[in-house]
Amino acid sequence: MVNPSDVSSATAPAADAANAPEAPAAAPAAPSAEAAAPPEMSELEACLAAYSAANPVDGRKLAKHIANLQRQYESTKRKASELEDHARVDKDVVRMQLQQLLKHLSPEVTKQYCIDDGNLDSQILSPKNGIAHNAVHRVIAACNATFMSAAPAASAAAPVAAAASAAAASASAAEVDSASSAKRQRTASPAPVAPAMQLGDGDDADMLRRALAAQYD
Amino acid sequence: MPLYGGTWYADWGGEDACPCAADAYSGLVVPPPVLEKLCASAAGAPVTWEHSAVPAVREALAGTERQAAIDHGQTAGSVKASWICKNTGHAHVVFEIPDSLPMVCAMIDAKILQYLSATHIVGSTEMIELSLTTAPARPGCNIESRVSSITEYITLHPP
Repeated sequence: MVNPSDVSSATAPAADAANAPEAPAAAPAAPSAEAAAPPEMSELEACLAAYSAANPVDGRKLAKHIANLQRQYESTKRKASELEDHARVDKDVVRMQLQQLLKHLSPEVTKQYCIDDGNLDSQILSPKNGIAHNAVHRVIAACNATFMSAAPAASAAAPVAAAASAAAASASAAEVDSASSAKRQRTASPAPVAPAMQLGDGDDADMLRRALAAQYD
Repeated sequence: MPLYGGTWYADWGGEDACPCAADAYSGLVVPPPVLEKLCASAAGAPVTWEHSAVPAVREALAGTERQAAIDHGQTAGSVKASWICKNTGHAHVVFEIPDSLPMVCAMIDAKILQYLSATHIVGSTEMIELSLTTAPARPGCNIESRVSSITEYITLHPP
């Protein structure tokens, strides 16, 4: 028969020794593998295990709650990672589009607005959103300055070009067909003057004038 | 073959000292999710006598511990089912002792062997062995009685 005291001292360490993962291979003859067993669970898990051992039902509820929290945390972390990837792609697209715009701007303008190639890339890819926004605004401002100032100049130049082309056209046309060009020639003449009204004695105005003269006389 | 029902993981209530984190690191107490997985993996684990499989388990390669326990030559039976009682949170087990070991059955029936002690690898969720013992490491791990079927014992402690 086995001595209960021997069993008591042998059973628990034996169980603990078997619980140690590396104990069989690393320290088969270790008297107490419990000390050699590395803590493989977190402090929270250990406390939860100890609490659950004394309060099994509440411990299970608590464990389920913690598991839910962990699932939510993992889900949130995954979503954040996805959004980060999307944001990175969006930034790259914006950066490429802005670089396309820069090709239409003169070097003086890009230098003036601090949006030359090297600057723009670093600013758009900056982790600080404010810097990226500011860079985009400066590109827009540079585009406005370039394209909006170019529009009036073009419209002013247009009549000159039109006149020049018209003159050239008329000269060539005169050579081809003088009769048709003569039709287009204008002669400056004063606007026709309306003939003065010839008021006779019997007119109403004359009668009114006379009546007034008679009254003031 | 006779079937026995018992508890292999109870609570530390009553006059027993409450466990601490160190007991969790040693594997004496486990978190509820691990306990559930241990129950799920219990079927097929060998029933041993006073942790007789531990030396073989110590020598086994990682991942082959249960097979080493099964093959160690002094197996006294096998676990048929294990689950956690819904009402108490205790882990229950039904195990069978082969007809070829009538003396073991007699000792259990006579309450000479009346406790259970389960072994697992810390960090793993597989039950390596379920040992018949006279001095369990965990409190409240008693062999309740002989049962006619697994269903009968499950009815007593519904999961």
